[in-house]
Amino acid sequence: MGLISNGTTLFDAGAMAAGLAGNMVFMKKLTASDSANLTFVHGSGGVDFTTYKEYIFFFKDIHLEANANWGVQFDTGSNSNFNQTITSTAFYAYKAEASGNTTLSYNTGIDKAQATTHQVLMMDGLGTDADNSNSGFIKLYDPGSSTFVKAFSSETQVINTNSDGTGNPYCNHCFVSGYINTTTAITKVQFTAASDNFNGDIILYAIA
Amino acid sequence: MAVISNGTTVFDAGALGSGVPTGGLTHIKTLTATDDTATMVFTHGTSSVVFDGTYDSYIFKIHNIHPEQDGWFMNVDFSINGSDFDLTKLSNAFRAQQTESNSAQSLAYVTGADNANAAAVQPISFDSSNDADHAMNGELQIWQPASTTFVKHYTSRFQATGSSNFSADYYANGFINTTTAITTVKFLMAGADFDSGQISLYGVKG
Repeated sequence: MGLISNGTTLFDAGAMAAGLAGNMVFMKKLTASDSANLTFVHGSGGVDFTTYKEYIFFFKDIHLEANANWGVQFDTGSNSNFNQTITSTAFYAYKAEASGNTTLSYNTGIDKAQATTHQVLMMDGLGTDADNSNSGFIKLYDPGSSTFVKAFSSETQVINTNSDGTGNPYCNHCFVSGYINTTTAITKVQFTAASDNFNGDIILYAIA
Repeated sequence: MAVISNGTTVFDAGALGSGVPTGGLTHIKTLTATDDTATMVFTHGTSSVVFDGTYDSYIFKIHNIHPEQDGWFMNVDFSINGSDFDLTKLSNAFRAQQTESNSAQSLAYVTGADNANAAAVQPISFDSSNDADHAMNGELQIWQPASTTFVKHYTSRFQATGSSNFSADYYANGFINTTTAITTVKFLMAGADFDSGQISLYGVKG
């Protein structure tokens, strides 16, 4: 039974009318608990990578078990190799807790030039102290397109421990942006640490 | 028919009651460019566009803009009357870029895209590529465009595939130096036209 008010359908078939409750649509939350990866798969568990032009993955309190980096890769169709070709940029601003060192710099270590390795979003040396965690987001544009390459951009706030080799904690603001160089629809998005496992939440929203 | 629960109007006249909590991002209007589209214009009060004090800020989400030619800026401009786009802006611009051949990675200020209290357009994406699979994606946010007290701040970030096969991360931030309400926002390429793409306007609740 639908609920219609003044000619406008408010509810029907068990769902609220599009846009009625806002246009940032919650889609899926995955929680890592000593996990090697978290993977969002189109058509699985409510994940839909074809309907919307923009998707946002929020990272909440990502905590690594090893002093490594953390990032993302993508795949198409039923493939699970997570080796899509990416060209990307990366830069960061940081300040050290103890030494006071500061930097604003391009990062040639994590950008990509047609590479198929995982795209680092949070720079190497993430802290593993009990109170260390990392947060941020990545936006993925029109992953279902069969015309265009797939753009993405991320912004994260992380705690690094060895940005200058001293072991001092660093507040590090990382910006990564690029494109997946394929016109085939993206069906899988996988987040992993460079080594060992991680904990934390990743929440997927779509912009309607 | 209205739905009233415990004295609170939940629905009436085809809309949620004002006291019902909803999402903070509200879609207002989407414009779609087709071949030879010269400008994409949002004007308050026209074609269902709301661009006033209803929301605290407004976000233009820009998806798969495909230009007619290589090598042009994508720009935005503003008006207080819908016809004169001559408002002064003070802004900064920078970008990161990397080529597919790993030959020119850098982070740099872009002097050609900033404004020093100039009445020129504001570049928001600093190159364009007409390759069939290339496009520009990003967003522009404007705060309190209807304020009659303050100047109007804006920030933007774009991911673009460059005309010589590079990835670029473009940033432009500044303010429109007027205390008169902004009513119109216009997007255009510096040269040539749009081939395709969408710009969607959202309101952000305070």
